[in-house]
Amino acid sequence: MRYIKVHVNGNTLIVPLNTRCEDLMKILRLNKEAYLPIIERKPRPDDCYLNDGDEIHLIRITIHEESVTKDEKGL
Amino acid sequence: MRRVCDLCGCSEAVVTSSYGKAMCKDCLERSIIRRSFAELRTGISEGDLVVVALSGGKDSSLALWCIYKYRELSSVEFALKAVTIDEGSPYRRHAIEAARSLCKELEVEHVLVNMRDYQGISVSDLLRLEHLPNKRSMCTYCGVLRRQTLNIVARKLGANKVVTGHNLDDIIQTFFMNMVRGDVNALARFLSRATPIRELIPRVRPLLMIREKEIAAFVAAKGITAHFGKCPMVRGMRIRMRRALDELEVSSVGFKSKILPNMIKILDKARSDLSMRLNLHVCERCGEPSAERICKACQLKMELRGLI
Ligand SMILES: [Zn+2]
Ligand SMILES: [Zn+2]
Repeated sequence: MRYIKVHVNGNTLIVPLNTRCEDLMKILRLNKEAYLPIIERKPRPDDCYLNDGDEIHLIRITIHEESVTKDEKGL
Repeated sequence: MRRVCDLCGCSEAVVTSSYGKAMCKDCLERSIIRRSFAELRTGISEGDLVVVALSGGKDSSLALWCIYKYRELSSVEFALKAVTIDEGSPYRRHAIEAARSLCKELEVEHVLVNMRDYQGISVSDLLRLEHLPNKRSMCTYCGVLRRQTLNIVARKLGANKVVTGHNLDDIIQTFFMNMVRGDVNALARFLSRATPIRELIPRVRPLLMIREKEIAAFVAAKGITAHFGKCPMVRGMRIRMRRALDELEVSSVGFKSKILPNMIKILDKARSDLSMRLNLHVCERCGEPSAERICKACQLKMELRGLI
């Protein structure tokens, strides 16, 4: 199997070639409804294929977990 | 070119629609205008003074953009103002700044009010407490007091319509939460176009049929000034409901868009039985709209007596 390297929110990940945006969300155990994927500075649809070297930002648009630490609560 | 739009076949897609179609920015814009204008056409009339509840987040910023476009493209003439309520929460600074910038860009009058000036309490006062009374969450105080403040300010400005940024996700979550709680009063008022008392200014929700993810993608693609952060203090049933509904949307595509018309159909059918519950009163203490003798805002403030 061939692999590509992508950068997600500053972390480098190795994923199989032909990974789509929604596959990446599944790998990261994220619900795709809760995140807006920005790939190479543009929002992209769920079935967009990732390219080698892509700069990806996953922006949280809704909250699925309650904050646990005082810090996270913004206190 | 990356994934191409399924509708026009010529531009790069920015989001997947509720029906599983990839859409480009322009096709998404047409779709958002079509859906939001349908709500605005029934909600806004000639000569209205419309106040947009602008938090500075992506939803209310898009709601302001939609009504701004509506004023530009339709023949209906109405006055437009935006109101931002500063609840005194430390996380709101960036959003308030975004609200201010967007109003400047669109040349819409912006009214920024301090919640403490109207309620005597701010979120920062509540944050100083070790525990909130009766195990209540911060969202309860913030939501109830903000909503009432908005109504008071809009009335003071002479508004006869209030536009909010509630989206498809918010509406479905609220419906299911009211079902779970068995809150018949809230269900009776839910999405009702009737104005039971003159103290309550009618709400118009241009984003009612638009999914939160489409809103986020459009605001980002179009470059509409908005803050994307979420309140870190949010907790309670809404979070669990959101997660459950998002899981349903992922496993059965289009769930959210398909369920809303059915919800409206059921509520319309039940409205005659629910109508006896639609009667809002005015609060005995403050005179604001209330489902009970004493409104929720006054109840919360009474609980805090001696603590702040
Ligand atoms: Zn298109
Ligand atoms: Zn009251």
